[in-house]
Amino acid sequence: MAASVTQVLSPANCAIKIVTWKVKKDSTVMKGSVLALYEPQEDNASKALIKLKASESGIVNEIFVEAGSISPPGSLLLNLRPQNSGGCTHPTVMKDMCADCGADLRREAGVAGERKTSVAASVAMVHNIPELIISKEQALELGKEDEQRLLRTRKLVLLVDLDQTLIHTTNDDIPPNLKLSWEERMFTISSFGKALILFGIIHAYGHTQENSWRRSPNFYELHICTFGVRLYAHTVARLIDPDEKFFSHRILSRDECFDPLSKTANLKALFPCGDSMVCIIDDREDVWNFAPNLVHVKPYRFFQGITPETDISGSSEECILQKVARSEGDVTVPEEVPLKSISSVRGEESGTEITVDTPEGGTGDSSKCEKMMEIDEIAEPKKSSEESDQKDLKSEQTSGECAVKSAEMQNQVSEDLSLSSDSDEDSGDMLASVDNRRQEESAQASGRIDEKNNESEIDINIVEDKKSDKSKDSTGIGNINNNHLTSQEVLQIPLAVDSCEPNVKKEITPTGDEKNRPVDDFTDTNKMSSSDKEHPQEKDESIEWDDNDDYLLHLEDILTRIHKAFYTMYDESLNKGSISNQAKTSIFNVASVSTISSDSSSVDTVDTPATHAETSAMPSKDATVPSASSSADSSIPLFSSSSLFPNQPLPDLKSIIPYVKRKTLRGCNIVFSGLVPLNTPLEKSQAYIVARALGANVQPDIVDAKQVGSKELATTHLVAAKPGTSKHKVALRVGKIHIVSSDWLWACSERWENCDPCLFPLSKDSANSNLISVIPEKGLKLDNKQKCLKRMSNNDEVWDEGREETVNFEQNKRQKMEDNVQRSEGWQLWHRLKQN
Amino acid sequence: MWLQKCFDELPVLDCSTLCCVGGICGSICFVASFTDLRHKSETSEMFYHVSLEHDILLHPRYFGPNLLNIVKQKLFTEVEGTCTGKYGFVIAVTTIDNIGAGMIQPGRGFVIYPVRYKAIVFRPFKGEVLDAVVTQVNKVGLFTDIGPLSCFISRHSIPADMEFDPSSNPPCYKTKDEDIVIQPDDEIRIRIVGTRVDAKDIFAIGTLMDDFLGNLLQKVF
Repeated sequence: MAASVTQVLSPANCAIKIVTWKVKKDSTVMKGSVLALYEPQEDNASKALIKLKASESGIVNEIFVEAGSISPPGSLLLNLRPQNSGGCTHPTVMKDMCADCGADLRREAGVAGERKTSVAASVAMVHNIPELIISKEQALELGKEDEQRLLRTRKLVLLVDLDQTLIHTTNDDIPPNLKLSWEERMFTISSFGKALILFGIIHAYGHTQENSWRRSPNFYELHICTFGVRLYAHTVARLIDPDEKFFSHRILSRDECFDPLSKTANLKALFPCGDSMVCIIDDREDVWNFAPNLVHVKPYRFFQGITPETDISGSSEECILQKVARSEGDVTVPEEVPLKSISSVRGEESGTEITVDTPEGGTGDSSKCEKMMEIDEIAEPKKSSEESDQKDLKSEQTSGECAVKSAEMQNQVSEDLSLSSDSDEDSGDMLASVDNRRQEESAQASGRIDEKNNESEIDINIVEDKKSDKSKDSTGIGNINNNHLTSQEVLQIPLAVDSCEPNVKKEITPTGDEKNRPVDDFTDTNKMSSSDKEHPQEKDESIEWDDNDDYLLHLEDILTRIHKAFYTMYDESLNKGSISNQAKTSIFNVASVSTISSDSSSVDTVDTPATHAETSAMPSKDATVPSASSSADSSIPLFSSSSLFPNQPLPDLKSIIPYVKRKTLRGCNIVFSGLVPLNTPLEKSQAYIVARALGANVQPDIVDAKQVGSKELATTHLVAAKPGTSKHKVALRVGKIHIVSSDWLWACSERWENCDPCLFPLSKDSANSNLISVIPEKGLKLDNKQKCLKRMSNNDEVWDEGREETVNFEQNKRQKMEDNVQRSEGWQLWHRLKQN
Repeated sequence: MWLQKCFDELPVLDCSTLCCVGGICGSICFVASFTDLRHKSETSEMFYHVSLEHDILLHPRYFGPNLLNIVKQKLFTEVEGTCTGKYGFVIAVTTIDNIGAGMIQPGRGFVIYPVRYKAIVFRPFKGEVLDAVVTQVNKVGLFTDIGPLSCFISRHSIPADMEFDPSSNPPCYKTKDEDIVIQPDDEIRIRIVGTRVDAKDIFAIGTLMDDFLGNLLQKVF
């Protein structure tokens, strides 16, 4: 760029005498900085010294005039050559100002981002300051430094989501004397608007806070990556981490997200050297585009009566909206919500509002969540009471299947109620439905389903409405509950009290008897708790919410395993140097021996580690980059080599995490029975995908070890939706096969461990929950009605499958009869639904 | 106070924390007149005593015996602490020279009083040396506050012997032997290399690459 050499000339009006030069050859000058002091050589001019300033930034190339000499007007004084061939490239830009040369790059009267000149900077590398951008080269340099530092301290990067992963927040009224176990803390964030109260519970590395929560920073550098707005994210982070020890300023919020629907877009900016050391925990896979380095965690839901955080939209904004909407709703129907009952109503809301799952959140989700909670407690005595409750339910309902189905139905119903109440035209409708509810309390399921049908037409329209509407939905159900309650003077909270744990079903499907019983038993308590704090004893009793969620222990275990796997592999690649190739492949061959099947994903198991070894060995052989790779060529197997030759590729968490996950059920040969709908190919079913991701081998039919001869091919687990299917019977006959309910598979996939099959026996009860859990999470996007229909049809198909598998005619006959009964009941429900 | 101490010690006229407003600043001699502001810019004078005008819009309910006092009060609240691109941050109103005749707005009843007043303003210029408080430290640079002015210092403008240390809490820039550490809440002396003056805000870029710049407490003069 020789053309851009700047000549500095003396002023054209008169001769000047340079007094002193302020610069010397090769010194860097900024635009406007003083080059020299001179005095004009004119008779009438004052002798004051005038500064000669640089018109451009650059490096002094040559000085042509000695200090003290006089130069004529317009003569050449010095040459400036541009820095780095082309002036300042503005590699660091903050708020459209170059942070290196200080130049204002923004166009005259332009808005932020409108720049006069193009800049080299393009990467926003600091989480919470999107205005600060740096050039790609610098970003790479910084990224490398980060990477080296992480390797030195043997850490990995962990991106954590806030809402429903670490914390759960609500803007509902929480009983003031809510008892929390010691590891949880509740905070009130009052800085958001007037009436908004958010409660967050530290769930983060929760139960043994002293240990794991403090220990984990040794393994991971924590970054927050949330879709909450900035203020919210930072406030919550300060609450969780008051010393800024864990998160520091590494907080990425909605305000800094490039893409409102996906968090993936920011990864490239935050980690310019690639995300090979990045592990993610989130309760939603879709926002990360189902990235392989994502550990999908079970959504954390502590408050049951909560309108779930609508995940995509900003949580706090949403909450404000909801609050506003709710208060509006209260205002619009004042005569229906007498003040005296408001406090009690609130309590009720928190008890039942869980039905107001957003359409995306889906009932499948919530039911799964609930189911998992049951799993967690499976060994506890509570389970038994729960079961007995369920049995009661069943006996009171027309049949076992009906119970569950109607539970689902009513779940839907209340959802639909909430949705429908929102739409403008059907306020009358809403009232009607409330009436329905009132009248048909004892009539139960059928009545409810009728209602459901009434509402379901409106339902679809509403689902398509925007988020703001959804936020109002909560108002809807709030009102309905209010009406409902006011009419009856009844609280449902005792039901929740009974079990002290989240059970959606029970709260939603109280039979006539059950509903009356708690009313009788608890009305007094409720009145007290709602009216005054006179009897704290009783009140405490009524609002102790146990959080039986021990998922974080498992999560911690998972993360520790991932960390270990990464650094084992890393050490391996360092120590073995050039021979690492064979060594590693052998390791992974051992690791993947047990996955026997020859289909694609098991090939993956073998392949990925192998490619690893290859890639890590690649540069030493190819040696395209002279400096770094030639030194790698010498293959010095020292630990320090990584810092010396940073070009050495690292193990990639994107393949390590799936690899660790695949070790979970390694060696298991699984057969599904009644889990996969008939019209879906096995490979596409959720159960299959989950099982494969866990490293299990899925077989279409039960393989008997005696017949095949090899033990490796024999079926180890039968995952059945319900007892009595033909495969179940074969498995019983063969023996030595663990027969488990589908909960086993879900539990394994949540915890990444081979759960004890004894904890998940296949029983008639488990069949019920299985039917629900068959619906994969992929159904989330369906709207309520479709989901409902799908659930119905799925049930039928499951039964169909059970029917078609014929082994023993006698058994089959009986089976068929049972199935027909079940089916007819299912169809009865279905037809009733259809007719209404 | 600290300001005064700073003065006694240093030949360079500067001041950092503008939280000490009006009263102190007004009495100190470095307040210059805005007219020769440009010429003085090399000698680190960021406070100026300037004559300004402002229109006060007053609701008719204030019409009464206390009218002028209310106008004054309103002027203080409306003007102090704001920033105009041309004059900088208005630190404090010193005198109110003239409250002009109020003009009643037809149809509204509101009255507009043109007020002429003198105020101390803070207007940073390129090349000035100022004392700043570090607010945030990250791998790209330092963020500092100079009173109402926020200023960013890129890591390229931090002496090469200082390195970013992300593992310390809070993160900081420090030399190898940890003689000099810059971390949040430290007071550092910086030179401004560029400012951007918007209508409502001023933002600055600073540097530490000069003699006598850097941490004030640890720097040995």
